[in-house]
Amino acid sequence: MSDLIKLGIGERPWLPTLDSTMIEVFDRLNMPTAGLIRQNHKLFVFDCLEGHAMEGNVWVYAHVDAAEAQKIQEAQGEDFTRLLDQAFTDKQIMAALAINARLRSGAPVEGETIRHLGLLKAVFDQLSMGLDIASETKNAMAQLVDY
Amino acid sequence: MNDDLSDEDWVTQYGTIHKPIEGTPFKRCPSAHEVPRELSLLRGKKTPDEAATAVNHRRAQGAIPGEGVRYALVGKLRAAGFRVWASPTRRIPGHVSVALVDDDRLWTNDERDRFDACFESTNWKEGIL
Repeated sequence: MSDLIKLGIGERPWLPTLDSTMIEVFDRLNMPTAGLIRQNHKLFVFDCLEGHAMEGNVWVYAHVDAAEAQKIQEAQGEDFTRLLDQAFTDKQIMAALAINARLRSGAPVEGETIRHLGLLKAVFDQLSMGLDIASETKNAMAQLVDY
Repeated sequence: MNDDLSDEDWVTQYGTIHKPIEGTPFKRCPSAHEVPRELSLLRGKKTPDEAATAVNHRRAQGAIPGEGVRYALVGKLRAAGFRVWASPTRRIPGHVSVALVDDDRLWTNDERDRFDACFESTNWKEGIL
């Protein structure tokens, strides 16, 4: 069974499906920007990677087991930051783009890619690939709407 | 609630000109979906670089050109009808919240204008993206 979180298009990034429940908000900047949620009896941490003050922002989600979640919840200061960052390495995670605090799209990012490139570059490359493909499709669609 | 901010304390609001949330470089009110309806500020007078790193620890290089900060005195916000209190988060120990004193509802245009008017100066990260 997949350990990837499920994303609902149009849902809030911090509650990515209707059946997701918030366990703890770790950080906020006008909205929850990092936290621990439960979805379908599984625990996931989420974090806003970039775009905190922007209309569009990039989010990551990683499955954690109960022990890992407890360690993160109990940690403070730099330990907390290290443990939360660690949750997004060495495993397949989900990256998502949100616009106006609504999920727009998402894609898995492989743990091996994160190990090689680091989290930011791995997510950036995945996002860029999606945007490149979308741009080509948009160009093709322009033929339909321009004439 | 840890309400240990004095009226003489400065607070910083972080913003951007790059496709900002709700179209203004600095948020003027909580969004409709935000419950409770609070805005996020930072304790003290932060530079754009300091503010960018405070809200996103991955921004080791600080702000990008076009991001900025603006400053207000806590007392001025309180005098304008806002509740201001320290609300540290796990990675933002200097997080400060602002809300209406009397109610948890959408802010009116008058309240948005009053909030804006509390800020005295703006500091942008310069450069070219």
